[in-house]
Amino acid sequence: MSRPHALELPEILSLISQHLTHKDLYACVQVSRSFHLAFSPHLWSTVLVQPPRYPKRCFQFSSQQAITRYKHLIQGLHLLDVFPHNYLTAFEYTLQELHVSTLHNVLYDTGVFKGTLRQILKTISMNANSLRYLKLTVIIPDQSVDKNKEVWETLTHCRDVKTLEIASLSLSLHEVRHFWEICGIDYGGGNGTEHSLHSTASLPQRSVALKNCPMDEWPDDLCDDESFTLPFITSLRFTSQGLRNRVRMSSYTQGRLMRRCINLRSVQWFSGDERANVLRAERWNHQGKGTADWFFAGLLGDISEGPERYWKAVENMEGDVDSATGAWWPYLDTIDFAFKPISDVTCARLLRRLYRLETLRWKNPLLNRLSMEELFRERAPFQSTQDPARPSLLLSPPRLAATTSLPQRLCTTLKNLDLSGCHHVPSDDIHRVLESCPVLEEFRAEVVNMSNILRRPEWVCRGIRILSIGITFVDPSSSAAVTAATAAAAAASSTTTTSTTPDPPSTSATATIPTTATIKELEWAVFTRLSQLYRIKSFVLAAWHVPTDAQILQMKLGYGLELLSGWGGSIETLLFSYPKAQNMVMDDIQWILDHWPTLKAIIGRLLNADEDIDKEIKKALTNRGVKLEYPYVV
Amino acid sequence: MSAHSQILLTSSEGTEFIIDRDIADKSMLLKCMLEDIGEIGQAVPLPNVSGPILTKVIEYCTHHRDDPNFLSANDDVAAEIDEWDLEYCKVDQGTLYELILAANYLDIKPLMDLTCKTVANMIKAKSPEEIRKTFNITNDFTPEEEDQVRRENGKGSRRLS
Repeated sequence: MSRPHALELPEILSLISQHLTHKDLYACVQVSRSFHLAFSPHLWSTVLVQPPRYPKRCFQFSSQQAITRYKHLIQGLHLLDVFPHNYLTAFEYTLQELHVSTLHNVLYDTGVFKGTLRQILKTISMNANSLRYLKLTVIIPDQSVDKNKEVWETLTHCRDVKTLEIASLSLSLHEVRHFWEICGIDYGGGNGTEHSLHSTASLPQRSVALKNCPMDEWPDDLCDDESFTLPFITSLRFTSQGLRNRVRMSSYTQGRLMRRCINLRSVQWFSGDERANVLRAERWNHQGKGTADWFFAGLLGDISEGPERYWKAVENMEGDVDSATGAWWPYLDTIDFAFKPISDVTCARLLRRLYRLETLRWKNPLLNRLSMEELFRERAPFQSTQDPARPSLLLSPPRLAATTSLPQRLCTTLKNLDLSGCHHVPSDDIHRVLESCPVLEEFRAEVVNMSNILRRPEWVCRGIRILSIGITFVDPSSSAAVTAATAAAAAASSTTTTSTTPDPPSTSATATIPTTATIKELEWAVFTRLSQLYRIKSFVLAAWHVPTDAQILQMKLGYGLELLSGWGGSIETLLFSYPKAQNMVMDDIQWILDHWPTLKAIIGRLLNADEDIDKEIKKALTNRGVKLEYPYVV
Repeated sequence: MSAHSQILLTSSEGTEFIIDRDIADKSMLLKCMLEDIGEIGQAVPLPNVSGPILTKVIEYCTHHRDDPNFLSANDDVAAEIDEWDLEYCKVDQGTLYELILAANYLDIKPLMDLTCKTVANMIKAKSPEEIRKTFNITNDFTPEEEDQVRRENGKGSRRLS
C-alpha cells in the first residue's frame, strides 16, 4: 500500500509523544533509525543545562556535541548557572523559550560577567523573531545606565514575547513602559484612545514579575503621572532572594507600582517561608513600624506633602477611612499581610477599595478593629465609572463580566480568613464571621466564647473545610489580660442582649462561669452548629491564648459528640493540642472510629491518668490506620 | 430541516454505509463537506478507509453520539481512558494504525487522542529492546551509532513540561 504507516506522520507522532515522559522518549530514540528520526524532535524540544556539580540531572559537558548536533530541534533552552559560550550562539531563529538563571552570584564572583551578558543578549537578538517566552534571572552588578540600555534595546526586538520575567535586573519602570510600547502594547498613557482600549483587551496572558528592582529612581514624568498604568500586571510578589548586593524597592515605590497595576489580583510580600528567620530580623531591624504604612501611603496615592504629615494623620487615627479616594482594585482578591506592621486605618482604607476579597491573612498580634468592621460593612454598589480617565483598561474576567453587580459586603466573598496570629479576637467578631460569610472555606482564629450561642443566628458557612478555633464557655474578656476598655465594651454588649437561658452569664468577673446545667445546654447548641459543617476536613480545637479558667469544649459522648456523625464523609484530621487536653475515653474513640471512616489522624494529648486506657486507645487507633500524635512536648 | 437525515458513505472497497447525519458530524471532514456542498443525495466516497475500519469508526462515533464534551473530552492529557474506550482499543496493531489513519483523515480528534494514547501506553516504561519487540522493529543502528545515541542523552537534558 502506498499510504504511509501511522507512525510516520509527524502530527501523529507529536500526539503520541505528548503522553510520554522524557525517559520513554529516550528509550524510543534508541530503538531504530526511523524511531530516532521520529522522536528526536520531541526529546530535544526543551533542554535544561546545568553544571555537573548539581545533583542528578547533570548535564555532561561532553554532550555539548549533542546540543550542537540537535540545535535545530531545540526550541526551549533553560540555562541554570551555566553559560556555554561555545555553543550558545549556535542557536539562530529557532529558540522559542529561553530561561537564563543563576542560583548564586557566580557571575559576579568570577568576573566573567561582561562577556556572558553580551553572549546572552546576542542569543536573544539572534532569536528575536522566534522567542515567545523569556526569563532572565541574572544579576547585573554594574548597574550602569549603559548596560540597562543595552538589555532593553535587545529586548525590544523580541516582539512576540508573550511572557517576560525579569528578576534582579536593574531596570526602571520607564524602561518597562518603553518595552511594552515597542511591543505594540499601549500602556494607557496620556493619549489613551480607543486604540489603547482595544489592544489591552487581549492582555491577560501577559505576566511580568519584577523582583528587587531598584525602581526608586522613577523618571520625573512618571512620579505624578497617574494616567500611566500597567494593565498587564495581574499579580505582584515582592520578594527578596538571597542576593548579596540586595537592592530593595522602597515601600513607597512598591506602593506607587501597585497603584498603577489597575488589574491587580494578588499581592504578596515575603513569600518564602523558609526564610522566616530572616524576615523576622528584617521586620524589627530594618522594617520597623511604619514602613508598611509608608508603602500603603504610596499605594493609596494620598501623600502629597511627604511622610511626616501622613504620619500625623495615621497616628491621630483621624477616622479618615471614609475619605478614601484614588486607586481602587475591583479584582484584587488576596491579601497576605504577613508580619508587616500596618496601621489600622491604612489597612481599612485598602480594604475599602477592594470589591471582591477572597483571602485575608492577618498575622499581627493585634486585631485590626477597623478592618473587621470593613469586612461587614454595607457598601454602595460598585461604580465602574468611578474613574472616567481610564474606564475600559480594566480587564474583565468572565466571572465579573457575567454579573454586573458586585457583592456589596466583603464578607460575602471571603473564602479564607486567617486571624491565627491575633492574640485576642473578640468572640463577637468570630461569631459574626461564622454567621455572615457564606462561602468561607478556611477560618483560623483564637479562642471564642460560646456562652451566648443560643441567642445567636445560625452559621451560614456550611461549606467550611478547615476550622481552627478554641471553643470555651467563659467570657474571655473577663480575664485580667484584657484591657478594661474591651471588658467594658463586652459588658455593654452582653447587658443589651435579652436573656433566654435560665442562668445567663453575668458580666461581673466573679460570676462569669455559667452553671453546669447551662454549659450542658450550650455544648449541645455548639455541637448542633458544628454538625451542620458537613464538608469539614480539618477541625482544630485549639487556642494559644485561652484564659486560664476556661474550659475548652470536650469532644465526648454525652457532651454532644454523637451529633457529629455527619462529619463521616469528610473529616480527615482532628487536632486538639494546646493548652488543654481532651479526656476522651475508649468509648469516645470507638464512636469516632465507627462513624468517621475518613479520619486519618488525631493530633493532640489525651488526658488519661490511666496508662492502660492510653495504650488501649492507641492500639485501637493503630488498628484502624489512624495516627495518634502528640505535637507538643508538655 | 435535515437534522435527522441520513448520509451514504462508500468505503475503499465500495461497501456502502448509511449513517445518521449527527454521527457523520463527529467527523470534521464530513461535517465541513456537508455544510459546504449540502446533501446531494449521492454517496460520499472515502477511498482511504476500508470497510472494517469504517465500521469500527462508526461504532466509536455512535457510542459517543450524545457525549456533550465530545470535542473537549480528551484535552486533559493525563486523564484516564474510560472503560468502553479501553475495550474499544483492544485490537491488533495493524487495525490500531489503520484507525489512527482513519481518524486523522476523517478528522475526529477524540478518536485520534484515544488511539495515540493507546500507542503511547504501549511504549511507556519500556526499554528500547522491549519497544522493538512490541512493535516488531529491527535494530538498524550500527553499534557505533547506538553507542553514540545512548551517550548523547542520558541524564543530561530534562524534558520540562
